[in-house]
Amino acid sequence: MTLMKSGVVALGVLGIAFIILLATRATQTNGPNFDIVGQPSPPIHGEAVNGESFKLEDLLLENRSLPASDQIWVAVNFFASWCSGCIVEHGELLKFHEEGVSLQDGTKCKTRLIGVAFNDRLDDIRNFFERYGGDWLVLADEGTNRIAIDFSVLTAPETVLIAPNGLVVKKIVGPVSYDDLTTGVTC
Amino acid sequence: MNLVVGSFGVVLTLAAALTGAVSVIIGVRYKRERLRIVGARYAWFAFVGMCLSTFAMQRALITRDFSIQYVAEHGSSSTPPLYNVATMWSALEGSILLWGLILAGYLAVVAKKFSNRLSDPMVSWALVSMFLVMAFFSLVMLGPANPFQSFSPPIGYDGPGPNPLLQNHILVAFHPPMLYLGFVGFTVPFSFAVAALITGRLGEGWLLITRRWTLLSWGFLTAGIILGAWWAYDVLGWGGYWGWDPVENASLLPWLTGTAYLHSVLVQERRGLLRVWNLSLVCATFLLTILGTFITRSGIIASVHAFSEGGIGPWLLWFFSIVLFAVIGLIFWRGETLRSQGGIDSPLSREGAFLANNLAFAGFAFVVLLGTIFPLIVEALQNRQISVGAPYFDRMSMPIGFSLLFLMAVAPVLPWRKASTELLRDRIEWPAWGGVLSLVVAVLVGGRGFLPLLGFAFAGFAGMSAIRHLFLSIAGNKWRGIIGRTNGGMVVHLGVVFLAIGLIASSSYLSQSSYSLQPGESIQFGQSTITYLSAEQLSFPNRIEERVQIEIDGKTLEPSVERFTASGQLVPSPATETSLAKDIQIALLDPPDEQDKSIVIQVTKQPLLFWIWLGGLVMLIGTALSAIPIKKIKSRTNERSATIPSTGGQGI
Amino acid sequence: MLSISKSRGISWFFMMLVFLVAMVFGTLDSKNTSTPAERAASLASTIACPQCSGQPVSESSAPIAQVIRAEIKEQVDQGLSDSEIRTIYIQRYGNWVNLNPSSKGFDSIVWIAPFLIIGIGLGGITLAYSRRKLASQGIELTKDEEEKVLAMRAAFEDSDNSNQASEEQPIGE
Repeated sequence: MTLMKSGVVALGVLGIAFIILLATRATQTNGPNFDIVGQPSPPIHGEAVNGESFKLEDLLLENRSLPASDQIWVAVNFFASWCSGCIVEHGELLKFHEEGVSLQDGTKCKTRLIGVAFNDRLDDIRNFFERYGGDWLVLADEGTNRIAIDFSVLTAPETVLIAPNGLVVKKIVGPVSYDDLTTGVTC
Repeated sequence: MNLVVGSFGVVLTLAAALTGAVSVIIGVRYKRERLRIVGARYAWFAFVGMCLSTFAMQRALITRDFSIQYVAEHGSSSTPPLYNVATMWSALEGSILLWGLILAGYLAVVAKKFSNRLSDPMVSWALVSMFLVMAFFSLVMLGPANPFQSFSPPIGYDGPGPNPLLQNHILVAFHPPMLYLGFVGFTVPFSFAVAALITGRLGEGWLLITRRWTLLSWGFLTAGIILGAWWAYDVLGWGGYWGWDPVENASLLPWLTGTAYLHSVLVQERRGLLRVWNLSLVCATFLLTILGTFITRSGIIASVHAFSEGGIGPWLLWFFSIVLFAVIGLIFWRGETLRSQGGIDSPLSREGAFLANNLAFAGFAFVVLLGTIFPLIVEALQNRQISVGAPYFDRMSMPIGFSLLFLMAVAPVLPWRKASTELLRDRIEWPAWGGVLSLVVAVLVGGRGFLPLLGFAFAGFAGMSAIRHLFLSIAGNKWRGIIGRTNGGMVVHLGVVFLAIGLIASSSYLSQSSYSLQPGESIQFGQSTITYLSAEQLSFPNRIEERVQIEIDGKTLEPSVERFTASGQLVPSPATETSLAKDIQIALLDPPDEQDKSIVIQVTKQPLLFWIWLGGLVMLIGTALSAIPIKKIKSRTNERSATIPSTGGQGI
Repeated sequence: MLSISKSRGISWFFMMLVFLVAMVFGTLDSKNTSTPAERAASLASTIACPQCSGQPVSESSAPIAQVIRAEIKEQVDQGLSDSEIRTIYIQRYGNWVNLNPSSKGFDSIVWIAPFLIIGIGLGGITLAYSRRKLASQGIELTKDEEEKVLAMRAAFEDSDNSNQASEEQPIGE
């Protein structure tokens, strides 16, 4: 085989490798998940839409002086009033907010749902909740951007579940379901 | 109604393409001339089919016919009328329809132009190749990218409209069609190259026939890419015009190999050399257009420009593979007969310069391709995510860019075959002075820094070489000295020089800052004073615009931010003050709201940015000049070149 | 009177001189250190915005990009080095947020491979050329004769070009 033909064969082999490479790639999802799960939760504090303020530290401090059955699990839902996935999951969040978590043996674990809206407008947030329901605290001051970064939030919606001792046990990217959020909760 | 007509059009095109291909193949194999002529006529039916489908789609978009799923997903009653036309190519299925339309157009024109030469097997096989490509794209439109699917809209349904970024700038009507006219146009020289391989007629014939088509496609592709850069600059807000985004790279790749091809064919026409290069370059260009389409639409590489979904990825990849291996197979089959007789006499010659040019462009294409897919390679082999972004491409393209400028300066003064250093030194004197003069001027107006200054010197070097050629040519031939392939080419080179100067200056001396301003407040930005005058809110059917008035150097600019009601997406609309010397762009980062009247603006100043667009315009003028015929005399070269004796026959 | 070649020579020498002077002036005058704002901007262009499909934070209006840009500015003012700042974001989000591929390890392939390929290409071409050169040893012209031939040929090429004789149109176009 001449030099040229062997060159062509080499090219062919490269071509096959290239095509296999392209064929086996999955489409890009929203980016890799980060190692915030299993770590102590970053701080959360800010002012909500209705004027109330919230500080995660205070809640965790309280948890420490309570018996296990009374300790509160916190779900933090990062959202934006214009994101379609947030509309999709809102019903699930409502369920979580109203019903909390009931274990198989009937015990009810205490839960708290906090919303964090980053770079959203107060009016839009109010309209969103008026339209779709829900009355949990939604933090919306300038500090929310910082919170989003600390929690490595890539896009809305994302939801984080924090155990009563302050460890992040779960991070769900994309619209969340009630089951996603509540499996693994114990008290 | 629209649905029926549209789907029928696609089916018609598919049927026509397949029938055409089959009849021409049979006609060529069994030497039935009649069949070939009939087969060629099917090109018209394919074109009619695409016209019907396009007509149906446009009608559906303009009348907001939500019974068609594509219109329901991308149309809206609040989209401004002009943008409805452009909505056709603002998402996947419609963009394939546009591709199909343009391909069918090229197919029909090729069939017409070559209708009296169908007895030539090369022309027949080229038509077959085009028919098959057409068949593929119509198949895609019946499969994964079907623009005519039905939808039952609920009462009072209104679509969301196209992506907001595609409804606020006029260039959405020009950039994609231009780009596609370029991409699709390369199907023509590619098909002839394939035909040359099949028939064994590997001489200059196929090059000469397709010369005009190549120039035309290249011109459109260049225009498309530059319009894309201009659009990005106008809309994004931080003065950027090229981000080395995977989809941008995908459009650049065929341009690089296409430019190399455009130059390299001159060597084959003149001396019969570089045959393997030319075949490879034109096939690579076509393959890269398919690869580019795959990257844009498969979603395997994240990009702001990507519009994926649907299973079109595998189809495009299959098509790419089939074409790649068909070409490789044909080249392998032809083997040594492909090689040119004879070789380059001396590296210091125009052939040598063109060969170096090929190497430089091929190297550039390799860099862009490698950088784009390297994250995929790393992920496949080591299961970790990395990114290869602008810093890589910027750094690598610099030495290549300088080399290309150097070649641009030196090649026009080199004679064919061999140059003595004496001769070269004579001819290069003017251009060398041009380089030195540019350097001096650059330093005098304030340019600093080794690399930018070197760049300006090279640019002046190349520019003066082009001017020298044009000067000599006009001196000899008056106005005729500016038309025709070589002279037009020199004008294009001049355009490239302007472009290069604009690129170097705007990127090396960019200054950018963001400021928070209260109403009435002023700040100093370099030598300019910027004052926040006032703000207003405007409502449109599909968006709410927050507009501010900013005064800078006596002029008033009105940057704004638009929030589109359907998606909530915030789209910035920066305002730019342009002059030959510099561009100042102001983007509104944070509009005022009820509580806080202050705004945050970002100000970007880039010297000589306008030279980029100016350069692009000159390039296009040069392309047009290139296409003007000089004398219509009978060709000295018989483009039906002789078969190569060693194959022992006429090929097929 | 100076001979043509001598005056040419002086002209070239003068050109080189001007070039050197301008270059030296242009490079010595430039400040090598960048202002903090410039450093922050250049860093921002090498760090990807986490939710923007690969755009750098310097080119995105997403809120998270704005915040990261502000953070970088702070960090530069605090005196952190470029690599320290980059490390912060790599640790927070992962290696993919660094738009500049590493020059160590496997990733260095992306930097080296192009030069390798171009080098191989050049090598191959030179090899092919020298082989052909070796194969064809013909009559040797004297230097004068050779120059005469080359000059004549070049003149012919020039006139050929200016007459555009090579611009004929193939039939059928």
